[in-house]
Amino acid sequence: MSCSLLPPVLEARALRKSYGGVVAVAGLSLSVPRGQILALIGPNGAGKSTTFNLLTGHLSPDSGDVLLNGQSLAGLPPRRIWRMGVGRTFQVAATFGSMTVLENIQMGLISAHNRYRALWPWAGALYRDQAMALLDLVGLGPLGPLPCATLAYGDVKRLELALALVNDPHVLLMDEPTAGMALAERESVMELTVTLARQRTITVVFTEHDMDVVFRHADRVAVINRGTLLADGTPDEVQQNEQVRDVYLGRGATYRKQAPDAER
Amino acid sequence: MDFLLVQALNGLASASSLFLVASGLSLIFGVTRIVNFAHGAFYMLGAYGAYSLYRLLLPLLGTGWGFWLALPLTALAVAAVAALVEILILRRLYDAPELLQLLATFGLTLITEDLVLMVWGAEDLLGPRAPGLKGAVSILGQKFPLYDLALLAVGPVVWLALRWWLTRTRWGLLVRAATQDRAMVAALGVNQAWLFTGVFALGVFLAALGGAIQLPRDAIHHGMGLQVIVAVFVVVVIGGLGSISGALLASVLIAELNAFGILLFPRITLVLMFLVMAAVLIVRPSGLLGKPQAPAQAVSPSRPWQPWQPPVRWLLLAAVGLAASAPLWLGDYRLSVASEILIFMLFAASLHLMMGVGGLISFGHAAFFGLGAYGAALSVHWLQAPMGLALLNGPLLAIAGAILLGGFCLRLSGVYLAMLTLAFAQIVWSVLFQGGEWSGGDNGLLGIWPQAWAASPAAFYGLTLAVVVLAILLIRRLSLSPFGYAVRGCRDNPLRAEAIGLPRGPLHWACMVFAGAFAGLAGALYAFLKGSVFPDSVAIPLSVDGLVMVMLGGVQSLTGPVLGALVYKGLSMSLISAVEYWRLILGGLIVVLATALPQGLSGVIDLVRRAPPTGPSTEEPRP
Amino acid sequence: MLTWVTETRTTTRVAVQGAIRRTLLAAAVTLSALWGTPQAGAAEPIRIGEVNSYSRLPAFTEPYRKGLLLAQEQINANGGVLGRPLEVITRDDGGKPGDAITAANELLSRDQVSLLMGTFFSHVGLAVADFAQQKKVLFLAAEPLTDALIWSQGNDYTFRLRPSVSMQAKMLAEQAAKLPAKRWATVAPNYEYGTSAVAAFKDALTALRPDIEWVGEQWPAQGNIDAAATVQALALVKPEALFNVTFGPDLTKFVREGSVRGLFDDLPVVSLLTGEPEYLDPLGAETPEGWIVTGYPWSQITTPEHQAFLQAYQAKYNDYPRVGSVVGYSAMMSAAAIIKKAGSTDTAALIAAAKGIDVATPFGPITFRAADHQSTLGAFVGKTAQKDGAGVMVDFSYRNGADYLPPPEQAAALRPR
Repeated sequence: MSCSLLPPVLEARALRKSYGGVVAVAGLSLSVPRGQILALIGPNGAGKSTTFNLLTGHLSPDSGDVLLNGQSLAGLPPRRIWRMGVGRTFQVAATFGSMTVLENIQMGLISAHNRYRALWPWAGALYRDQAMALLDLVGLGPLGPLPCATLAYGDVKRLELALALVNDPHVLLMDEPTAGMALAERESVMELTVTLARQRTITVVFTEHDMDVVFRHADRVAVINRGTLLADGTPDEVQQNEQVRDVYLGRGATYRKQAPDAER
Repeated sequence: MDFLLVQALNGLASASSLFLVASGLSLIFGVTRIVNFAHGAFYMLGAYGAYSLYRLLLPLLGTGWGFWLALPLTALAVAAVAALVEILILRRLYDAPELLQLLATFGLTLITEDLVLMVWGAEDLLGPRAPGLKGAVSILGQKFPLYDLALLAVGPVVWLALRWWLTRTRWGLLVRAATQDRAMVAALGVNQAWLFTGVFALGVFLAALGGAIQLPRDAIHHGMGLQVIVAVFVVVVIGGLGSISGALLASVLIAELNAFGILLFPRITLVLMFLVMAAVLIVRPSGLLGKPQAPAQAVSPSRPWQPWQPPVRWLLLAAVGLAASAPLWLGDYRLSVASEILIFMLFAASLHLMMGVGGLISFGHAAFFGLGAYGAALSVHWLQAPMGLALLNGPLLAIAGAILLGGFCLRLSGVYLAMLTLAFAQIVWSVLFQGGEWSGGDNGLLGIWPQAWAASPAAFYGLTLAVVVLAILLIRRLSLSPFGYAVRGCRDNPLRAEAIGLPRGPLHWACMVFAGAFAGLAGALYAFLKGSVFPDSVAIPLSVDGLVMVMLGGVQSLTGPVLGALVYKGLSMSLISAVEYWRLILGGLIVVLATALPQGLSGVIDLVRRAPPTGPSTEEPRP
Repeated sequence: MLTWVTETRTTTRVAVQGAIRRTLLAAAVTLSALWGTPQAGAAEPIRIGEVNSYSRLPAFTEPYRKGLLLAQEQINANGGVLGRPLEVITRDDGGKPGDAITAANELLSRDQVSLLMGTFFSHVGLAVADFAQQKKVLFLAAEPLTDALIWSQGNDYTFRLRPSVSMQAKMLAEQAAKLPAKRWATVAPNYEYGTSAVAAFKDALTALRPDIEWVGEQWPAQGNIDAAATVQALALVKPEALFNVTFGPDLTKFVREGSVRGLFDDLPVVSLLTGEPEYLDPLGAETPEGWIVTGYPWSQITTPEHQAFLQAYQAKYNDYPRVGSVVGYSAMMSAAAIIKKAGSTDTAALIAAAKGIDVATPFGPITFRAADHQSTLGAFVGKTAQKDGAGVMVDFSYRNGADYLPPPEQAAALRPR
């Protein structure tokens, strides 16, 4: 399926970023059309993480720009970008440890409704139904009253996914969504993500080490090497790409076997 | 010119002694993350120990050997004591909330002070002059003591030795690795426990040596420890936590600024180092040579907070009812004591709002308390304001202070933020202390008594109870409001908070202002309870008291600080009036409580409460 | 149980080991008895409440307490006052005014004392004085030196025993004026005591010697002097004489640095309180020679009243008295005299009795002035010297406090209406 005819939702223009003398991203351009699921891959140190953090606003580029629906995100802090409808998840799932599962979502909803300044209402009573609905969506419904800290890691990842959905984002940026999870769980979480994204026409950009996940779920794969785009196309195209095989996929197989447990 | 040179050398000699103690503290913090409040106590033990050991060795070895052996031997002995303390007490606390070690080491300080009094008596002791270094040399026509010249060398020598040790030895490498990433060292299969013990002992060795080498210069007295601890904390923070070179740089900076500062502004002695620290932290939030640190975790994420379930609600209502009936069964004195305890409950609860909810550690919370007290007192003294208005003006002044301080704190976190609050409190203190007529200076403002309707102890108690209960309910409401959740979210996980649109800076700022307002209210009540205000209501001991109450009670929930204030204040007021060595007992109790109940007193309540499953929120099948 | 606790409060510490054991025991006992009610004994003693900074300033307050208890013993051995024994109950204020108020409150409400006395720090003294006025109880301030206590902040209920800062500064200025020096520098701790001492000394000396020039001042932080830098800064202004107010550990450090650096060579020094054993003894073999000081040369005072005191003190404690001992003893004697003269423990009667009362002290008879409630207790002014490796005072004479106070009507005008 090709969605390239639709106008881009997210666009990177000639992004450039260096640390000291080391160039991490060297003039990278990328445009993601509405509803597409794009995987950013590349070997360690290729500039993948930097690119990702430039997209989320956690880093600001030395030059170049990131556009959301044609609007520049330059200089905006991540929280502003979120308010423009960009949700995100982290490599190590980021949730609120002192709150229950349900409260985590309520917290997100409170912020989405811009009510985090309210001093009087009981936060625990706000947006309960909405929050329950979101939890049901990711399959955590029964776990709502549990302290977040007691969840299994796979469930934390689900919680984070639900949390990323509180403001009905039209773009979802996911950093290593399956990192640290058991094999079976990876598949179900990714399945869930893709289903939700398709249902809600959410544009997804994710980085990933697990090539099975990448090639099974992405509409499109962008390979980054030395701060530039090495290849960009459908999973099939990328898999056939000689250059990619040379620098990356050749080693990918061994990578895959080691990665899952080494990271946790 | 010659004068300037000699004054610069004076500064360097002071810097040298300061560095010795500070480097130990920095080392300990860098590796173990212990905020070692007892560092000053070990310094004092070093001085007293060296005095006694010298007198013991004197008949055996004579002046020269006796003196020069006494110094390192004492330091070794104190380090051995420290290792024991680490093994027996601190080792149990590494998994507890970080500041609990502050509580335990504070307890140790109290114990040491009374032990020193028992063993060495009350009078100041005068150590011997350093044999062979009694005289002075002439530098450009100015006399300069030989011993100071020797001291001048000690700092750089220790610095070089530490550098060598840290970079060239296996132990040193491990220590450096641990400073950067504790988990990694554990992963390397190093016995972390012994590494920590070793580093703690080494740090204390340096402190004790720093104390011992004061023998020929200083009088040995009971105030030594407390006097040095604040100064070295400032040095360590200015230099950057965990950075030995930073500590050296900061020692030199402070000592030189002091040496020359007193020429231009002789009165600046009280506040100079805090001004320097504030300036450094505002420009460089991690100190001169420090690296940004993972924010210190005041709280380990814990049981989520719930609205009170009916049984708890009835229990609390009964407690308040009981408290309200106190005038019927308590005498005047005990009512005043109860009022004071209530006021400190509010003070601790306000600190909890910052620490427990916001994760913002404060070493200077007394600033808001004191501003509140002075706000009320100044209104009464200069504007003849009625009590009601004064009780309002107190918090207003505290709010103004919190707005000012909060603005500077935006970029800071962890211990750095805590130390900026300390600097702020000390600056406020010195302004009030040296304020002259308007603030009453250190003689304070007198005659701040309640109006006739609230003058009787029972009436004032009633007023206090009403205000405090209301304020604590407000604090609770605030903690469980969307705002409170947002603040807590920023504490739990700054990344996630930012990623769901929560502005951390402004939220923390607002949190500090609320905490300041409630602390100010407590201060205003305190002014009327005591009838007078003094700069000591802004001073460090009160800030420490607040921390102790919160940590003792448990930082996990609001019950903690309220309980902590009750126990700590109740105990200290009872002990001080009943026994001579009250610090020994209080310190001992604190150490025991800290090690036995790392989650604080309220942790016990949680355990009890968790035992019978009453609702879906309390029984949790752990996956 | 309760009487036992009261007893531990009032007896002095004898041996260290005993004290540790006793403290632990006392803690156990008091913790269980804390909220008990005080009971009236059969003899019904007259209770006097005493608040002082015992834990904060043990070097001064321990001898003070010994003096206090000696006086109590003597008074009770002579049949007490008004046919009843005197009982002094001491409380620690930890050097904090807030805790001093709590302690005073406890003494007043629970122990039902007839009057309050004690305190060391000026601000603590002021706090208790204000409390005394609020609660309408007599307060006999023993130690605090600030002028504010009896003048600008004076009240009807507060009387003060020790010669104030300005009195002692005047005694010294009188001697200082005889020096040829014209260029004077000052060094004083950076708080009210230091500031007011320097101000009083300057006033008094300038009045006697209008030609004097003040060339420099240093204000080290109390308890935290940077002695080397301070000494150097003072040397820079090349003074011909120096007025010193630092005391305790600060003084020791200052003297050591100053001596080695030659600051005191040919520099006359006038120094407040330095002749008091509390501060002179720690200096030992490093006592500077020839400083003009106020103090207490206990071993050389030959008046019969002091001899009697000295012998009794040494017999009881096997130790020599410090200034604190004299102050504690005299304060207790004053309290007894006031109650005796009043004929009751009613506050109004006590105040009426205290005004103008004559009391016998180890330094001779003193009077509490009716006009400003200040006693005429004086101090010894002399010079420091070394004898067998210890500091002593020589060429001293007793200065009667009365001679250094403003005339009564002038003093009364300094008090709030």
